[in-house]
Amino acid sequence: MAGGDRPDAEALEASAPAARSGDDLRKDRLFVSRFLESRDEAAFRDLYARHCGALYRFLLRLTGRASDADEGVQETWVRACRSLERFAWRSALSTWLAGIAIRWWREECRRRGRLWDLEDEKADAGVFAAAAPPDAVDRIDLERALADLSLGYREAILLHDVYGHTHAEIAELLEMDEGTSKSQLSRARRVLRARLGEGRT
Amino acid sequence: MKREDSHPDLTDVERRALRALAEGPEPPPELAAATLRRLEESGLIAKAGGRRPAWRIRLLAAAAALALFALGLGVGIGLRPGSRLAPAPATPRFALFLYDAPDEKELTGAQMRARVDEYRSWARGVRAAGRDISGEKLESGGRVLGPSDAAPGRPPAGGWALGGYFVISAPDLEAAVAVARSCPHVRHGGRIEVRAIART
Repeated sequence: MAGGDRPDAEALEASAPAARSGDDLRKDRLFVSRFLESRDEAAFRDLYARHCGALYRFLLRLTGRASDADEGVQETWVRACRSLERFAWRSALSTWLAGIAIRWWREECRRRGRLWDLEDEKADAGVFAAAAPPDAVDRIDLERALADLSLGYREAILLHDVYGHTHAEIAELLEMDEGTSKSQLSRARRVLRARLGEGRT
Repeated sequence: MKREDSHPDLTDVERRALRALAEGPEPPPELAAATLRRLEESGLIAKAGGRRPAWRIRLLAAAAALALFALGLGVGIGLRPGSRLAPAPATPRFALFLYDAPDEKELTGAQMRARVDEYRSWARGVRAAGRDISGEKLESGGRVLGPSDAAPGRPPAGGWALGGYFVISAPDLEAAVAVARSCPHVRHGGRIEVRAIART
């Protein structure tokens, strides 16, 4: 079982998509200020190009559908451009965009009545506790297992384990305390591991 | 009973596999244009080539539409004033018709549930890979309308029964056929007919 304090784990943390350098932050600030000054297409395209790939893939994993990811990208930018002037840079721009995307998708799920997405949370996570970690993880199996998770668990895994956001960032993003974020991730990992185990048997 | 906060740390194998999921397909090129149209429509950015606010664009579009109407050409030739702009062209869609072999054995209830689970799992994998997919298993029977020799979808001769269908998004026929080949139905001796869905 790997500990979070191992050197290779630390190196992996540093390479996480959400671990953005000071240079990234400066560029984001520059592009945002240019866009806010001009509100023109060229300035928006610069901003879009910096974030569209990560935002699209995040939405693809979150929603599980290319058409929903397309719609989510558009809706996220509409909402972002409405409130960009009030963005206080307490988090990275990419984190803020991910938060907007999550809130949009939650609204969509409610609107579409996808109550079944809550099933995992209702289940007793204790039954999954015994699942052993796999020796190898097939990408397709993992994609399937992630897509099958409930929305809350999928958000936890995506934000922390796929995109490398910290619990502090996630707590602010989803308006919860850090303890809740940690326990949510804990349950999500157990369920994900159990789902991967089901695929092996 | 385990404590709720006993954090199941990830193994390095799991950690790397999860991080790798951040990599994946690029957004479709037309998404940038679609997003720009939405922003223009919402008045959040100025139109390229001139900084006319959204209300003025809508007014001009409405005036143009009225002019066309006055000329007897009708409204709405791509202008659609006041409505949300048309979304970017959708990815082509294909229907996969699943035919059951004439000698397909009757499945027990448990076997049928296992089979449906297998197809559902495959469909989820297709969806996880970024394609739209929907579909249903079809009940046997039904009615054929029209001339007595008419047959729905011209099924293959020899007693093949249409048992279900999927609708998937794919860039072209070859890609759709590749998805169809991965469907468990082929392994079970079934036949899949892949048809492009006409764009209206």
